[in-house]
Amino acid sequence: MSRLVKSFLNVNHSRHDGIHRAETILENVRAGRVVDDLESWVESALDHPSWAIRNIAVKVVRLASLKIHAHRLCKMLLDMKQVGFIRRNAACALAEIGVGCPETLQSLEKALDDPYWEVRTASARSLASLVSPDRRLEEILISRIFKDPGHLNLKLPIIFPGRIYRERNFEVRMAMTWALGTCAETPRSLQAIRLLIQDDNWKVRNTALEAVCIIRLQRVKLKSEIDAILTNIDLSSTDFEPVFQIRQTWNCLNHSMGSSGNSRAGGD
Amino acid sequence: MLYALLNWLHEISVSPSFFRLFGYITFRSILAAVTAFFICLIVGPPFIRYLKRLHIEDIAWGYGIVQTQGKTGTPTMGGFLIFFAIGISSLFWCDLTNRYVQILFFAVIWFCILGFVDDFLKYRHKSKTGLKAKYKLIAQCMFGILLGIIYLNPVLSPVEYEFARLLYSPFLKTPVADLGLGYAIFIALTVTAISNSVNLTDGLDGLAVVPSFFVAAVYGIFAYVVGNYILADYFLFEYLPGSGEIAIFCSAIFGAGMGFLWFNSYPAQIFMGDLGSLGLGGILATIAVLIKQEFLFLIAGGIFVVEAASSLLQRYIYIPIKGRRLLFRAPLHHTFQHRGLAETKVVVRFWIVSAILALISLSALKIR
Repeated sequence: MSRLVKSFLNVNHSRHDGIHRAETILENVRAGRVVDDLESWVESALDHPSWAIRNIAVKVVRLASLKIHAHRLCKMLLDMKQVGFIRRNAACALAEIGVGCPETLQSLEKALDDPYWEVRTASARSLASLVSPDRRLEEILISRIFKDPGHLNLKLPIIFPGRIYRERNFEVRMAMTWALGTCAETPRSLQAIRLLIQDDNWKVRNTALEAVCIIRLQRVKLKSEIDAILTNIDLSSTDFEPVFQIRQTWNCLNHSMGSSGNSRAGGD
Repeated sequence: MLYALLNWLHEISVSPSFFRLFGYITFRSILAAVTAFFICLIVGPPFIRYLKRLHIEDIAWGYGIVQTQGKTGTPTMGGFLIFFAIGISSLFWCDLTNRYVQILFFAVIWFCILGFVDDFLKYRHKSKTGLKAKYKLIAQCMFGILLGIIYLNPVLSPVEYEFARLLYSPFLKTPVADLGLGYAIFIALTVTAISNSVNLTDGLDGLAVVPSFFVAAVYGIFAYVVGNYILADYFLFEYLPGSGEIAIFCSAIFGAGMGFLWFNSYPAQIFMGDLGSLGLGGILATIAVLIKQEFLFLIAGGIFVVEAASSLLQRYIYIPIKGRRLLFRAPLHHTFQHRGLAETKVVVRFWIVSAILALISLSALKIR
């Protein structure tokens, strides 16, 4: 019994040691300091039994731009035995280190079906940063957002917008809408955005408008379709950012004095 | 004090006098609420200025551009204002010889000191972490155990030991368990849980104070019922002589809460700090124990329960063990903000829910 307790304590102790070391390495990499044997540490840490250390290793791979591990991260992204944070961080990392790796786009597309919402969000964001206008991805995103692509032709306004969505999570819808804006190739993207502009959540509507901006910049040909969308927009919102006038005045004064004022201010 | 004076005047007057009014718990409850409210209103502005003079405020020092949306610079430790108003109002209108009232004053002092130490350490070190969580838990548990000892001790307790050790549940006439001396541990758990849940909820302007005074109102009504022989008999509650004084104390909490809300409503001129949130939670827990309605807090204080549960699940189970999030953000009010609801909207919706929960919990008076 005592041996069992001792072994447990040893394992726990070494685990904490390992996490501490991993966090130190992460801090050093983040600060741009040189870390000895980083490659070999990452190699072993990506296989470590503790998910916390594997997670830190994925972050280090991203920060240090270790492109050699892109293939490995693709595998981790699709491995359901990895915890959600690792899959999410792998998806984020692939946006930076996965350029040129043929597996990256395929893995990120598959990860759009991940059961954990943060992974789907990160995958959609990474795809948005990696792709240029792409008809195939456009169709994939539309099929992930909506239950039935036939919904794209629905008459507006939609009384129950929740019923047309396959993707229930607003944050994922936001990320996919943004991705749709960047990969828009055909008017079908605009048809999808026409519906997303009717979303219950103003953040999704806002992202849909941003997507319209991107499409307008990239696809001048779609101007008439864009104008048609912009005629029927719900600009109401459940959130706002207050502006405290006195703080604005302070900022003006501070600016005019070249930040050399001698009074006290509550800085955020 | 005022009650004792007015009561004496009533006793020495030869004919039925105006002073007899002050013998009624209902009348004194109203006076307690109004007194606490006006104390807050009168003391509030100079108190806020005093806190600013002492720089007890949520502030980062230095120059440069400030965020126009931020709330930094808002004074904290507003709990002092709440407890000053509750204290003065209760001193005026409660019967200070009543054992329930004495226990409540003990709770106020204990949690004020605990909250003050927590806030003071934050202020002194200019950091977000004040007293370490384990010391806070120890202090809360210690209070719970002390309260248990007082409550179960026939000499000190306002109730008989045979009754004190029984555990009651809302919607049931008969006790659900006889915990014996183990009741002290149950009290410690209750106090710790309720106190921390209010503390976790205090994250947005006015979010903690309104549900707190709704809960206080519910407990005040229960205290009045169990302290009134006719009503206790009618609603089939165990009659607790003298517990009606708790209703006056609850009214003082209600009045002080409204008075504090005058300044704490969005955008806040003052934050209650840990002094306020830990204190309010601790006092509500003490009241729940004294009138034996601990489980009623699960309904009346449902907002606090859900907030605490969301925070604990996210922080101690989902993130460190499962390696994923349960909610977008924790506690729950931050999830709603993340989903795109303005702070004011989240707060008002939480108030509405807490009002509905208070009404539902009042149904436990009749449905038994």
